[in-house]
Amino acid sequence: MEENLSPLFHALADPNRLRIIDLLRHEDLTVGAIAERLDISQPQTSKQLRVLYDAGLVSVTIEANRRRYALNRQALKPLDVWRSRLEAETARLDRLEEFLNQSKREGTS
Amino acid sequence: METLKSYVEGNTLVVERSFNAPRALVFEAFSTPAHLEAWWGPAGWKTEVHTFEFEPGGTWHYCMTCVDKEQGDYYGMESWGKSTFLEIDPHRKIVYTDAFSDADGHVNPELPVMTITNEFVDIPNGTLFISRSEFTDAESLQQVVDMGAVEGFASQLERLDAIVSR
Repeated sequence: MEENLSPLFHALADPNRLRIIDLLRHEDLTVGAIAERLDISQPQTSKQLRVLYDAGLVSVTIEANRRRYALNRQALKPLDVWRSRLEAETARLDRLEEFLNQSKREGTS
Repeated sequence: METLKSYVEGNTLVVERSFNAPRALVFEAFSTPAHLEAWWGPAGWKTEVHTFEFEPGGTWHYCMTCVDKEQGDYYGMESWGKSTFLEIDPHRKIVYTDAFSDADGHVNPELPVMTITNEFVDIPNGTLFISRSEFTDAESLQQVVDMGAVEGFASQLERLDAIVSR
């Protein structure tokens, strides 16, 4: 478990890296297969995979001279916490807004 | 439509939202038990404030009860919370800890405690509210992860995308 979640969020804060995660959600893939599906170069794909790997989001298996990448689902679990927290917070602030509007109408500020 | 902005700083979730209401009123919504009872609990849950000592070191002990029959197993369930105010700067800032407790006010040591810092800032036409929810340590965060582990990978990514692209 990372002490700090920022590397995880940083790793995911890129459209191509999110797309790679989305592809690996369905199946394990080689660099070449990922590059082809995203229509970006292999060096570019390798670079993005390296960021995901360093953040612990993907694992790699080397078969002969091919590198096959798989998603490390466990690493994404902390995101659930932030998601549920954010949802709760957002819903609460919606109710606060409703309450404030009501208070203003009643002139009880 | 009011804007909501959120981002992560280390183990802290920051949520910013502007309200078309004066700063004094937004602050009162957080510092008056009757006001808190009107909006605090989740949808379908009623909040009752039992203790509210609004001063540094003071206790805020409250109970949320599910009153919505549609929520199935949750209907009738009680969830007690106990907070301790750490810092209060009237109409500007409130810092408190947020813990799970029982009806007698005993904090559940098995569950994580968070530190919440709420700030209220004047902006044209209203108030900017900034809330920071900080997990005390990585271990606490892991507990919440284990407790609330929910599958839902696709919506997770959508949510994340929404967070990071704001």
